[in-house]
Amino acid sequence: MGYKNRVAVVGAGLTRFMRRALETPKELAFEAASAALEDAGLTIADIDCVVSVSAPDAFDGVHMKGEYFADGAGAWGKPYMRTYVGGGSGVFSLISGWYHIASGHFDTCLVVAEEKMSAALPHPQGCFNAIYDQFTERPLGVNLLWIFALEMNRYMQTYGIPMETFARVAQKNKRNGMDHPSAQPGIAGDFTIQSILDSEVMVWPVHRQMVSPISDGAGAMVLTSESFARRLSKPPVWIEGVGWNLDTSYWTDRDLCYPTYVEKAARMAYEMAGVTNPRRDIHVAEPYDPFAYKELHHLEGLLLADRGQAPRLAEEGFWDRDTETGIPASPSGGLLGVGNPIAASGVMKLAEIYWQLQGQAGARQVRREVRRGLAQGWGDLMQVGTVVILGK
Amino acid sequence: MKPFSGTSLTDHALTTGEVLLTYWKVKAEYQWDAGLAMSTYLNGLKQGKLLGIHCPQCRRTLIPPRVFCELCFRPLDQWVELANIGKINTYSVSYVNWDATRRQTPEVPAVIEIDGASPGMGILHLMGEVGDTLEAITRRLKVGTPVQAVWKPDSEREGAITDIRYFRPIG
Amino acid sequence: MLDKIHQSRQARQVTGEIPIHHRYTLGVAGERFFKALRDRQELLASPCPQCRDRLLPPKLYCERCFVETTEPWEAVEGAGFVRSFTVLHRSLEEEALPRPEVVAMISWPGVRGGLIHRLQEVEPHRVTLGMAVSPVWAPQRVGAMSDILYFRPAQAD
Repeated sequence: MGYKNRVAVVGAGLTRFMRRALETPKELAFEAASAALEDAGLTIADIDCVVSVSAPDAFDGVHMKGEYFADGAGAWGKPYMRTYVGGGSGVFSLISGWYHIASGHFDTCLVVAEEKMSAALPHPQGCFNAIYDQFTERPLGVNLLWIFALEMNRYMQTYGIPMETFARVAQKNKRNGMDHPSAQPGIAGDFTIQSILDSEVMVWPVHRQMVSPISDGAGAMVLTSESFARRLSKPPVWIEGVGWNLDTSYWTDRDLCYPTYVEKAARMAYEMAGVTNPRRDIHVAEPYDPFAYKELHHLEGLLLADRGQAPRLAEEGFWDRDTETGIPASPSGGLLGVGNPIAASGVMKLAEIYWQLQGQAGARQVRREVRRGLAQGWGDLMQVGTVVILGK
Repeated sequence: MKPFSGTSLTDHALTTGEVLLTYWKVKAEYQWDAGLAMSTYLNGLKQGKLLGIHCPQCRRTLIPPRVFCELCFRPLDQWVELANIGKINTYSVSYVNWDATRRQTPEVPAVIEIDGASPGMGILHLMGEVGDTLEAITRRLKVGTPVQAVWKPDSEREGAITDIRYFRPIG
Repeated sequence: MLDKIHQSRQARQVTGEIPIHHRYTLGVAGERFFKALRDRQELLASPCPQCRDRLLPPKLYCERCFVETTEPWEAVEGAGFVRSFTVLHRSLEEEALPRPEVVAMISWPGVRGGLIHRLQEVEPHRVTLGMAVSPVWAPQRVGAMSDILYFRPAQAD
């Protein structure tokens, strides 16, 4: 297709993920953006435009928070745009940055994601409840977890998946997260399957240890055109494919067993990247894992497993970080093992693929050789899929 | 790679005045208009009826009803009265309230596919008469279990989704 | 298309609110600024090593140069001045105020930025741009903007 520029990723940075941060949203954005610029060996003067993402304003308690933290994202006096697709925003940030540069209009773009959920009292769920329909759902006394528990049970019952398999996904991601420098205190760790199964039932079948936490944090990446990237000392990683897709907002009418919208987003990205056989061509994946079942759900939507087969593959270790024949999934630790400052966690996943391809992932570096990987987000009213494929 | 920044606060720091804090409550109340389709649906509930709407193009009968088919992107006007019964698409057992406090007795939200609507078309509601322990509930309910609406009496119905008290398993 | 609703009582509404409130930390720079306000009655500014501007309120970073500000953070000295002002005649609820109130943007020589605060002990029609003003401190201070009760014209002593 007629894109003006091939787009490179040349730097990434994060803050630590925290249950409650001292830093303001502006300060979190600044710390992540500075770390990404430093990783790229660039300064703000090299940046042509800035893209930011963040989930609902109601979390931080700042109306138009994208505008509020823009100066912490380095947007002073620059073209600036906040894009927003709920929980899918983090991964969408790179798509938004991509089309700024692919259009040929800019050579460099700083992409910044920020979330400070700890500000919302008595609980951020108070914000989430307002996503339910105010006529047919909210009067029933809803809470956010219902929708996930309902999806998980449908998935479990349709394929006869044992609870232990979901515990195994949580165990893997929480172990992986032990090696991540951003991991939120108390989230990562070496938990036994039994201790995960014994954790409190929140909304059955969802157990506490199968849910990502509430977090504060930020992440950032630097994108450039090919010609700009060629002048830098580090070899670039390329954005090979992008895809996004939205399902109906009438969620009770959707197939709760299969994320069709993720499949459509993935197919769009695969086509652009020339990926004809994802299970052969994708070497590492960061599927969105706010809940343990969601990682498996999404791996199927990404066509990396047949429908209903991701759980069996999890049992076989196919998604483990040290697999030699499988596809490592969430080697970062994911949202379950690192934390979930919503928009920032999507950038954390993209940064992981970037570092894996650069061979910079340290103790988290996967064993198999990787030339291409993907990160995937999910959100809006549980209906959006966002996919980015990176390659070297 | 140098360590990432961030200053993590403890509960202690927040409750002892060690760290400065400010508070704010947004003064905002809302009135949401139900619009054409939803007003008709709610008025149907007041009469003890579940209404769906039919799309002649994709031939789906939709619930909750809407003024347009989002698949065919065309206006809709063929109302259909649906049955008071359906089957469980999925359910869960909730031990937490929206503010993250624990519940002593669980609630049982479910997506219920309503008879007369197209397969897969469901609504969110609560289950009743299913026991109050996880063991009892998960033994009683399965995907596909047939259920029936239990309505409030005429005099108590006000045109709200809560005019159905809950759904109960039948058979 | 659906028939219009002909009787207004057939049109339904639901009322509600989003049941949350917020607790904000003041941040790395805010902690330091408001604690100096509380403990030493000082207004700190943070210097940018690149553009050399002194930022008030102080920030962790200069948003123009996008670099961290550096030590030392020094208190502004002497009187501030009115950069702009407005006169309020109605409350947030649009009720008439018993007497008009002045809200001013106040800055200090040699700093970038300034504070928004109330200006009292002066008739609104006597307020001028550039007027020298100084803070009136609350006897009990908690580390908030309200530790300054208001600004007033600086004494000529």
